[in-house]
Amino acid sequence: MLIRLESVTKTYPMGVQTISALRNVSLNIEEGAFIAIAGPSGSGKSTLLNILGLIDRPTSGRLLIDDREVSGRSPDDLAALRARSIGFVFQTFNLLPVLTAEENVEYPLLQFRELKAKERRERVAHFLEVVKLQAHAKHRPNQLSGGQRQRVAIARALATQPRVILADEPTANLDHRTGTRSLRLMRRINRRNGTTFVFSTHDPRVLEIADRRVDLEDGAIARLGVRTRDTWSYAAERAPSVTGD
Amino acid sequence: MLLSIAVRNLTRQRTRALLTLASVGFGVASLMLAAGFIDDILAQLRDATIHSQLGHFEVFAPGYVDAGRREPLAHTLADSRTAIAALRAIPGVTTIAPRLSFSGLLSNGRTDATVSVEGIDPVAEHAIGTAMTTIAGNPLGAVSGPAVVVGDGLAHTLNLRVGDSVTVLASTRDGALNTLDAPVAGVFRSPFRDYDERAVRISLRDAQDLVATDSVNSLAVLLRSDASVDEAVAAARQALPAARYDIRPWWSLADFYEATASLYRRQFVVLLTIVAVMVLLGVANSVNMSLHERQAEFGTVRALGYGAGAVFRQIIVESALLGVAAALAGIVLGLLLAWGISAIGIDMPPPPNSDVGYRAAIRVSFPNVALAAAIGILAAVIGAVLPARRLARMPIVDALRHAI
Repeated sequence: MLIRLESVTKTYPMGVQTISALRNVSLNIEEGAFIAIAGPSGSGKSTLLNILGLIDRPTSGRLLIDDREVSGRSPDDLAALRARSIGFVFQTFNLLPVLTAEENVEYPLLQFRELKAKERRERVAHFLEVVKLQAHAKHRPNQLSGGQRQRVAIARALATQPRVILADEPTANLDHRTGTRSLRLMRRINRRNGTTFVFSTHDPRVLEIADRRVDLEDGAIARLGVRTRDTWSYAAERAPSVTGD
Repeated sequence: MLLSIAVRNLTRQRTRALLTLASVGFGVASLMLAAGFIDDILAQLRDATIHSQLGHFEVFAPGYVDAGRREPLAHTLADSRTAIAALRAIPGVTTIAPRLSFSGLLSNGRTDATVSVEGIDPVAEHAIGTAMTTIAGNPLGAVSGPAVVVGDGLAHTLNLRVGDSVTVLASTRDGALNTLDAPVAGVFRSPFRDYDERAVRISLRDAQDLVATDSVNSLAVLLRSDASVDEAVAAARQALPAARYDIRPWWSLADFYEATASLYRRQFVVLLTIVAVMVLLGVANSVNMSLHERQAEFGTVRALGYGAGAVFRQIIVESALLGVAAALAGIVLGLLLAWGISAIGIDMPPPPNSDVGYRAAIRVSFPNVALAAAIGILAAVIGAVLPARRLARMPIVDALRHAI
């Protein structure tokens, strides 16, 4: 099992009150899955994605990657694990504005001392080719369109060859056509490379191409769906796991 | 790439970076100017002290410095000729001025005043006393026969003019009273008012005759360079036995210089602290604003796998680069201002205990430039530490909420 959540809860203090963002969430994500986490605003999609991405910690419960408990690890250990295992595609792309497209893709690779400059450059060129942005390698983010920025963000996420890529509302800041193209690109990468993708979304187009869905309501899993041809078949409500292909 | 990113980030907000650079640069330049100004004042005071009275070092009989001023004739040098010969052999020694000093009375026939009489070698004193000015009449060596020259304060007290006859009255070593009648050959002014109010100078021969001795109290020694005092004093101490000769460098005899230097040094430390705090606060404010706008960027960097230390380092490197650039700009500005101000000169009023004003300049020295630059760079780095620490420790999800 690539990632396993066991009875994860997340609460935030807000004044004198405590807000529950996630309630007793248990979930299994297998290698190669293409999963959409769906739900209305405030349902806990982003919180769940943050915990899966190791940039937030559960208040209680366990998070396991490759069957190893990671939620209690030190910040530096988590950073190292993020660097090698997890890629992010942020809703607002979050490219570093002073770097060109290729430098943005190269940036996370600079942490890998074992990677020589030549290998790094080759890898960057390869993933820019995957997202069809070779011609814009020297462009800075402010010289790129929204769709191009997202493709740079996808190439950056792919460059470290992570186990899973987490994409937060990937179509929210793109026009309809560009959003559809981006989704197809990610689906293609998923099928070709077996890279696991987890999306948070409320865009029906994402749900259309996902093969698993996790519906959240008020921080809890309302239902888990598996695509069977053109329809979703739902497991029992609040079922414990969803698996990949 | 870290440096390249730092440079690009600095040029990203040009106006803000320039303002921060200006505040650090002006701080560096102002420290250079303040240090250079104080150095010039102290250098001029040092020159005045060395070249009016003390020379670079003096040789006394043991006990003279502490008790000899009350009984100067009981503390004369045992063998001044041997001492002079030994001193002449020391490299860098240019002038040796023997002196015989004692108290006496100076009378103009109507009134008198307690004075400090100095028997001097006019030629040697002329070489040492470049900071002493003859403001009326002639210096002592320019006239033949017994003569006196007096400080302008004393001339004013006794209403003396060049050519007036005066009587110098003093006690011999055996306690007998003796007098010297001589005309006033000239009036001098030194940089020290209290000296000018009581000083009477006569030739060494006349002084020795007046107090019935053939010895001297001290030998003032002038060197070719101010920088070789320590070596020359060490050589003199080696050549002349401590049991018979007490050798003192000029600064140990210059209480006024030491007090003034100490005062200025403290003032400079206060000024330095104020400038450093101002620069630090300016940098901290600018860095804070900049980092606030870049929170999501650093959140992204950490999400991509970089640790808090990497974020901290990135911010500190950016600030250090800004500090270095600002220090270089400040040095250039400081050099230009120092050159311009020195060309014009700063007219200074007479310092305490002096009637002589002077023109100050800005002395540029490597230690001062290095200190000012180091303060600028350090302030820039320290100013960034707290904001960098805060941002490096910020939860990633909180940082990411501020979208790029």
